[in-house]
Amino acid sequence: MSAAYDVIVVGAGAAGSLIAAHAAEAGRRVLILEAGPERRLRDLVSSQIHARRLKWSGAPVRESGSLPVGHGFNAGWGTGGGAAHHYAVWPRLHESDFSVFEDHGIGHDWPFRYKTLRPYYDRVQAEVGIAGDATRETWRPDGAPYPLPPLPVFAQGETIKRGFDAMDMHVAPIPLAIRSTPGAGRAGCLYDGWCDAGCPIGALANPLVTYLPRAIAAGAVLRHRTEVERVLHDRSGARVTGVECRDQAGRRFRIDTDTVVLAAFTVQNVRILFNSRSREHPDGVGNAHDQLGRYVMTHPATTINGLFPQETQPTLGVTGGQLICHDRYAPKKASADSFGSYQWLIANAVKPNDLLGIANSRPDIYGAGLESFLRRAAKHFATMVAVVEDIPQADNRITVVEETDAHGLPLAHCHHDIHPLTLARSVAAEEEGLEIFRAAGAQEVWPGPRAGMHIMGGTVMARDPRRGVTDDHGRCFDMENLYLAGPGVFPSSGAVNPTFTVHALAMRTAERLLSA
Amino acid sequence: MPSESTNPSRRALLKLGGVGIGMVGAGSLRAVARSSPERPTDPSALSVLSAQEASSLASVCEALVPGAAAAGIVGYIDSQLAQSPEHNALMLQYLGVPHSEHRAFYQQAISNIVALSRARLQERPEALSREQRDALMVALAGDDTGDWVGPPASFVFFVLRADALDVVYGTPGGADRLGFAYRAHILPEQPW
Repeated sequence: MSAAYDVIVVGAGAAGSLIAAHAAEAGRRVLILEAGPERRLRDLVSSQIHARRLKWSGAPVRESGSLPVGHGFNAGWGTGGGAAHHYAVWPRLHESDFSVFEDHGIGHDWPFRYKTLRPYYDRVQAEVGIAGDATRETWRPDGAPYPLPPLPVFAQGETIKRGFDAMDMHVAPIPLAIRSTPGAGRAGCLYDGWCDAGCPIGALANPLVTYLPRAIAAGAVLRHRTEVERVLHDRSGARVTGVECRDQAGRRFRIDTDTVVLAAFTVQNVRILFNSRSREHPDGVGNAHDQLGRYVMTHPATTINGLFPQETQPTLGVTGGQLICHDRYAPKKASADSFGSYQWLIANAVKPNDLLGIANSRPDIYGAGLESFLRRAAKHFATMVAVVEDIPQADNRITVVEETDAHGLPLAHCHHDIHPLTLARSVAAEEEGLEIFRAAGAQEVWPGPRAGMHIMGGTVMARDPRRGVTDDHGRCFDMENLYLAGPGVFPSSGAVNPTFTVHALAMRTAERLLSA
Repeated sequence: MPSESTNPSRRALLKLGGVGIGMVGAGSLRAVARSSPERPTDPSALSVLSAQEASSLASVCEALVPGAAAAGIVGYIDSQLAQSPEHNALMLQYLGVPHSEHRAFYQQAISNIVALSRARLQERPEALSREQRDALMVALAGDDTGDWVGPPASFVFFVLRADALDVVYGTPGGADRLGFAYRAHILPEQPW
């Protein structure tokens, strides 16, 4: 089976849906290929148990390292990809995030500076809608004010804020891609904390309510349960000619196209490229200089948890949190033995169960004491999370291994070690967080585990083809009509949630793709 | 004055649960387990686990989260293990264990626990007294497990407890029991 399309977009998540929408609206014939099942808003039921079915269910990803990236939690499966269950925390990268090597001799610089990306941040936020108060984000780089008023702060946020105030630290409402008021055909948030299970009312900006409807309305075709295994190229090896796919029945087929956009998220993009090896690309496409898969990053994240004498309404609000603090984002090099920016995301709405739930913050409590703890926590629990910048390291890498999936395709393996300088920063942030909670009046405080949040890198942007996989527009150095999109192109991680930047970059990539 | 965990063993166990963090050992715990009669498991309803495995699993989960047996922990785990990866909802997928290894994980975990129980207390978990089951839980949490094979006992402890939490408190009824407002947008037709 073959068909001719102008653009094939691999992955129906944040980046893919935006690029597909813009390409289709520009009159291109667009095909979106999604490996997972179709999901509709009505499938997003309010249950942390059912929510796990939104997460990765494809071929296993092997992981190793001192801080694994947590692919099973961070990746999505089906319409909307990971963005279907993301928490819509949308801060911008800071200017300093773009020049980490120039400024500190660590990591990578982006091939452009913040001012290049700023107009795309502004346009995306106007299209999608972000709720926040830019005037209170004293650290925010220049940019358009948010189009929507901030979400309200509830008791949990107010409680924790007292600790920040006591330590002379400034907080602001989190900029959230969640509608605080109804509009643009979407509902306003109901503050019930089910973001991780997916938002069925459209308040939260997931692709099902943002760019996929636009893409479909403009004529794009979305095909589910179609997994792209390889990109195909011409005899020169310099131009992609199509993709090789596999349907649910295991049948393989080719689809021809003029342009391919790989937006299958960080790990799968790399896996596809490695598995596209050929005579012209013996080490995989995009790997002429042994850069494919390298510099994979994840944000080390640690929760601070506590019980307070007053009621905190911990289930009220949104999963991403109510308040944000970037007071300690700069300087990145705060001490000789640590490195990195970090942010606080404050007052996350929680549930009793699930990985981020109250009960699993205290795995040492079980049996008779458990329910009394949970009853108390239902009214008095509070939490916040420190998100720390990761240092890109060459040996933190996604590769493919000899072990294959059920269809004979090599599996991906992702290795990630936390750098000592990053670990030190994370430890310092944890100590600060405990102090903040004490200052806020907590009766009990405890830290959660350190875990990987978000997966970035692997197909990094660079000016020099010897130091990356794509150029500054996400175009693969090895092939002029192959683009990569998603957080995999990030040369540095910053300490902010990546989805807003993913959208901004995708918009820039779409512009370039359409002008080529 | 706020209290914090200064017990190094408790701190070690508090590290568990990080997404994909791998397996961390832990020392002794302070909480006390309570046993209660388990609902007998109908062997004909099981798809993956044997009746004996189900019985031992139920007793351990009940010790971890009282009410787990009545809430259907065995049916939950057994049914999920029979599902395809796409329909499997076990939290184990968040913890670095691929779907293809879930069955082996649980069956090995149960086998290890039964072996430990027999070696230390001369009985299967479901035949233990409350105090004996307490001791077994402490041993699991502390990785005090002798000839244990596979993932550490403390990791198994975390996983089984998390599963039990799901069935007891991850539903509207369970949330109500704690005084949490469930506030569903769309109520699931089935709890899992």
